[in-house]
Amino acid sequence: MPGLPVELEAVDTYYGDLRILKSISLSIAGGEFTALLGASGCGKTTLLRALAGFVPLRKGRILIGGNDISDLPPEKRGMAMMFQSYALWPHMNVARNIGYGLVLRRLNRKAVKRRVDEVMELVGLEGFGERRVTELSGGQRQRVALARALAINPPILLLDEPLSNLDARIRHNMRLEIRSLQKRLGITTILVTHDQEEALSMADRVIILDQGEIAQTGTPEDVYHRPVSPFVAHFVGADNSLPVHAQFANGTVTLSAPELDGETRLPLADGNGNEGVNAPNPIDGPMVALFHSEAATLSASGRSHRAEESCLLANGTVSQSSYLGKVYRHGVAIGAHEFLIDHHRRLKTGDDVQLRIEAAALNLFPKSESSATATQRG
Amino acid sequence: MSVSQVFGGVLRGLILGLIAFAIFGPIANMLLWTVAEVWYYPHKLPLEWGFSFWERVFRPQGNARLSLVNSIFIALLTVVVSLAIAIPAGLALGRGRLPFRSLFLLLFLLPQAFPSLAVHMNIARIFYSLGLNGTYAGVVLVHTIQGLVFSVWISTAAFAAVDRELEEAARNMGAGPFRVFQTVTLPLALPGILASAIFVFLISLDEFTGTYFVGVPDITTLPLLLFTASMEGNYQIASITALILLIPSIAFMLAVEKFLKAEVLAKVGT
Repeated sequence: MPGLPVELEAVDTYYGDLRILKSISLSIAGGEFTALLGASGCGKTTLLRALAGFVPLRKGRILIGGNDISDLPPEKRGMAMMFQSYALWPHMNVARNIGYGLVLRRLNRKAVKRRVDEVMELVGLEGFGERRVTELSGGQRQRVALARALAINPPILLLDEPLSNLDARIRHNMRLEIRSLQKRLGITTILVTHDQEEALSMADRVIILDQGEIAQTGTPEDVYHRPVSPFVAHFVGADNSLPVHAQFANGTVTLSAPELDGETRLPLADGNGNEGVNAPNPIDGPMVALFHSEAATLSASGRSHRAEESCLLANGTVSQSSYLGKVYRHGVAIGAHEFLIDHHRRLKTGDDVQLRIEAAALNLFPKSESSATATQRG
Repeated sequence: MSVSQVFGGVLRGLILGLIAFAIFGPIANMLLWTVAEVWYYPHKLPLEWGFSFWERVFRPQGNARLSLVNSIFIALLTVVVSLAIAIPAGLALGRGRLPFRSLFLLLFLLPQAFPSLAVHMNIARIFYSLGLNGTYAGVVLVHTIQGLVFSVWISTAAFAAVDRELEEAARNMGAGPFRVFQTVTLPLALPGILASAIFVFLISLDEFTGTYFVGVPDITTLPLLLFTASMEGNYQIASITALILLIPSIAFMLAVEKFLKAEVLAKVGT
């Protein structure tokens, strides 16, 4: 079955008196892979469970392919969900777990067996049918859970932190496998995760949730490079922050700070493909510049790139370094602030370095917004 | 070997011997009585051995056969009635949605909290006015009241131990609530429920006071037969009856070990 579009209209859910989802509206196209990304307690799992029918809506509607399913019980929704715990039935073997939904659909025994074999092959579980699920490894259980969900040919697949119980190596493989299966089968897929790397690498579209509200919706590149709020910027890992004073004027911004020598004029991103500083809320005055660790480069001090346009320069000293496998992450002290910057080789602690950040790697937010999220996050 | 080591060894042997005697002494005495034909004071062992009393116990016209059949029939019915109450009650209580949950659990404990003679005497009076005295229904009900605390508590724990996500997964795959109960909840809670059934069966088999007040003289069970036989000084009959009663208890020990998982036991009463 080709994937059906999903539509949420001003959905509200409560846990007791606590409002969990706050008027969530979103539409997901048929066959699209959407990731719901957020910290724990942001409502992402509640949203998934509301879609599956396990959490009642207080307000709003859910439409699947144009039909209102808000009042249907879970068993009538036809959505297949893969649980974080996998929720495999320990009293059934692998084949019976996978075939459960098919037996309910009154397929005859032969057809069930054929479909179960087909799906087991799809997820790489050939010959595991007679095994007890309690004998399987984490990765194999995960495949059984995926096979069970896919067996019924669902128009919509819901994945609740499907990879969080796997070790890193298997996790990376499964990301690719799930993604390519989803593309091949064309199932509308909604993934819930707290892992930004997982969301960015798998999804067509990422929805970032913050306290029951949508903080940003966009392509992985959008949310990574053009966050709309300091919360989103922090969430996707732009953790370096430098307080600056900003002055906006016809497509450029002039930044100054005690840590910078003099003023720096940088172009603003204009949304037409011209690269520049991302400043969704340009207000003159105190702002905070946020950037990723890998977006800045370091060079030995003295060899100044002062002449270069469209980047921010600052001088500091290396305070520490750690090896991440591919690069070294350095702590660089600039004035009273410390930044974490990646560099391809280890620099000595105490070395004077120059920090260089491309305009396109900078995200500017008014200081007031930024401190608000800082206290929320704390 | 030092003196203290010898002393320690002797002491340990003595303690073990005492424990063994405390456990196996009465049972050994009982076993001897089952095969004794003639045995009187001051002789330490029976004077004549044989199985003639077994023949008397199992004689078709003897009381023992009827009592055995009665006991098993009543125990089975008690299990059925208890489960009919314990499964729905356990499902409701095990899920914690019910208000006053612990109050309900305590309610089932209440009959055990008072002296059983007092409880049963009053039950007998009530049953007399209802015409239940001397009927199988009356005896089964009395046994059910005794067994309910165990069957309800254990099945509550068994249902509480079933992971909710396993049921949600079944509903997600398209099963309605009853189908989920039938294919997921019940099979997963079954070991605990079986254990509670065995428990109730044994309680009913051993039950004395309730049967004495409600059943006598129309209904005789093995414990009543045992009581009468030993009151009459007929130790052979009493011992053989006791031995028969011992068999299901030993079977129970083995069954509990096989069925009852630690996580179910851990949830009893929570």
